[in-house]
Amino acid sequence: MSDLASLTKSVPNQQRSVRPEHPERRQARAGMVLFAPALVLLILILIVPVGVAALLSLTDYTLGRPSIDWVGLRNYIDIFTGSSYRKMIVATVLYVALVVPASVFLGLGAALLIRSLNVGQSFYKTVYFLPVMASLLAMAIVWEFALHPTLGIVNRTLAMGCGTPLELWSWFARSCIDGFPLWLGDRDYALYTLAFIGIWQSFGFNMVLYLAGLTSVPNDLYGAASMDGVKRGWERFRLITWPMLGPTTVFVVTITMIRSFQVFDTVEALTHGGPAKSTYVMIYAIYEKGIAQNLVGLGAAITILFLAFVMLISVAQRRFVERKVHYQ
Amino acid sequence: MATIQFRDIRKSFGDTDVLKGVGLDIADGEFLSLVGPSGCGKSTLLRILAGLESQTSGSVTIGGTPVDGLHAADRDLAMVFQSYALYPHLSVAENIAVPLTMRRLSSAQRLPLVGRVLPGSRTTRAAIGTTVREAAEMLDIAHLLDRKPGQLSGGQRQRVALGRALVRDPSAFLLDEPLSNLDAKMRVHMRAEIAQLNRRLGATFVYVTHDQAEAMTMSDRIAVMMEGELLQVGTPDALYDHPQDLRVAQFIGSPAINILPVDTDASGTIHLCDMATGLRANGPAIEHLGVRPEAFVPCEEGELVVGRVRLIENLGSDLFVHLDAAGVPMPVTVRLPSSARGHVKVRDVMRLTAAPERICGFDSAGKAAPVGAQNKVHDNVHDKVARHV
Repeated sequence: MSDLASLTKSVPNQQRSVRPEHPERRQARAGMVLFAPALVLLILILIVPVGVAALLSLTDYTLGRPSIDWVGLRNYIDIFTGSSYRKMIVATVLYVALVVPASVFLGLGAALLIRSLNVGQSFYKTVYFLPVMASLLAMAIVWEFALHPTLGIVNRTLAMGCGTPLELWSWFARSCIDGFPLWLGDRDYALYTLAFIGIWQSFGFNMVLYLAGLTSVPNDLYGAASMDGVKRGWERFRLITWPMLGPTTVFVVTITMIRSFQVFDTVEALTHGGPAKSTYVMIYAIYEKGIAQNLVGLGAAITILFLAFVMLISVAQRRFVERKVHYQ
Repeated sequence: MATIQFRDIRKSFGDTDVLKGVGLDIADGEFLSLVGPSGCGKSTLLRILAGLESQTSGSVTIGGTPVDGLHAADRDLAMVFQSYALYPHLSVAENIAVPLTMRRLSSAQRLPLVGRVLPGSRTTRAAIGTTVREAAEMLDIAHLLDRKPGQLSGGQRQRVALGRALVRDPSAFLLDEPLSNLDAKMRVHMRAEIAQLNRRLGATFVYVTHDQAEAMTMSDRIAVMMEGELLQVGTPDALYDHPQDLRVAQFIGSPAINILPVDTDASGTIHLCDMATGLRANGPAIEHLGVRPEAFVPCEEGELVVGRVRLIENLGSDLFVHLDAAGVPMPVTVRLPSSARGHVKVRDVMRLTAAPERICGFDSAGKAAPVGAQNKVHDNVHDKVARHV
């Protein structure tokens, strides 16, 4: 059979097979050797841990216990049926849904405003970027002081508004009588307060990304738009700026989403998931179950769930969006 | 259709004066090229006309109406950019339609989804579609209407940019180096097409380029700019035969004009390297003579220039001979007919003369000054020219 195949081959091919080694094959082998270290590292430090986590999520493993029992999907069933786990999903999704749009659009708005300035650009850039550079844990402590129900600057400032026309706002009038919210101590306010801090902390970063994106918009396009009859800034934004920032926006939304899913430090520093598990976000749950309570199997299951969320975002980005915003 | 007037346009960026008082009248339907080396201010002048930049002082009039302070969108002009400036996220059809949708549809009608169901929107959009298709057919890009600019070649993008400019039937077209991103063959092709477009539409064209060949082949008139000033405005023939400034003479024509440094004595006789040239200055003292390569004629005696052949370029139709000539710093270029092939060899000594009326004189300031033959030599030179032509 192989004889038949070699007979039907053309002459140059036969000549080549006579040589000791095919140059292309030699090059391919060199390539293999060169990329092997990277492949080994990739498997060892990225893929194997995920696999181990996936396996652990199907057990009741806890650190230090000699035996491991296979529990199948019980950890996952617990997540989807237990009330505290439902609260975890609600808190995480709500946090992401609040922080992502607000910090993306604030970042874009700040970038556009800064670009329109003739003087003071670097001043505003620095000011808005400060929260990004600061250690969030340290900032969280400052926020804790500021939001203290009785001594905090926030409620004391608000209390100064009592007796003024601000009381026409019914919420404000009621608060003047019953006292202002406990913020981080109130389960109706805690997550929103954390989301506010999250937005405050992250929109400066998005602003920097948008500023970089804006520099790549060719100036000629704005000239062309003026010649084509575009006079108002809003029209210019719709025709050029927004579409041209498409790739930036996809990147900013993805990165902000992933970072919001990962929120942990403010929760750990300010609320510990409370009150009444209203701020019980995923990473905090992983920490609490897997590390604090040493329920490694359960922690691993939440981790896998978290990974699935993040993967979903990345795939969605690649599949649906990226194809539409790159114009080449 | 409109006339355009520039009145004493000045423009400064900080301490740098980019335009130093430019005045220019452009006739209705004229094809005028603004030509000059890069950085001479020609693009700035065009952008001031377009309304994309504002002048420091002076005024611009379009069709008799001053347009200073008028928004670019209200000047009824269309512009083609060097980068084409197509909207990359819109299809070719949508790109060409933008000037029409911006003007014919209200801002509510332009809204996505909602805008389509508003009264009048459907008929207006249909009319726009028809106009876009007509423009595309005129430029031979109707088959590309659904593509995105990223999928087109340079020449096709160029046509889309032209389509977007002409779809609205503006009073004047401004073209800012539109061909400089094309390959040589495409450039020659589009050159002819743009010139034809000017004739077909009858609209005023203002064309900015640094390529004198483009300006020479396409324009009714050329305005040569250097260092923020207009040096000369005239027909291609006038600029070629009678440059008013040494820099214009050097800029126009390829291969470039030969510049011979000369001295003029008290009697007005012009000397090249201490040898009388048989020419005299009929006005101010002459410091440079300009002779086009094709104005030179080989001769046996009474020559203007003598030199040794260093290089022969055979173009088939012509022969360009480069000489190292005494007293001339740059090699002298001579254009000979193809019949001279084989008669000239490298290292040959060549004597050249030229008819006095084809020699341009320039004074110490580089301005054109009259040159004539000295009487007794005059006939002599003419005889030789007659014999050799």
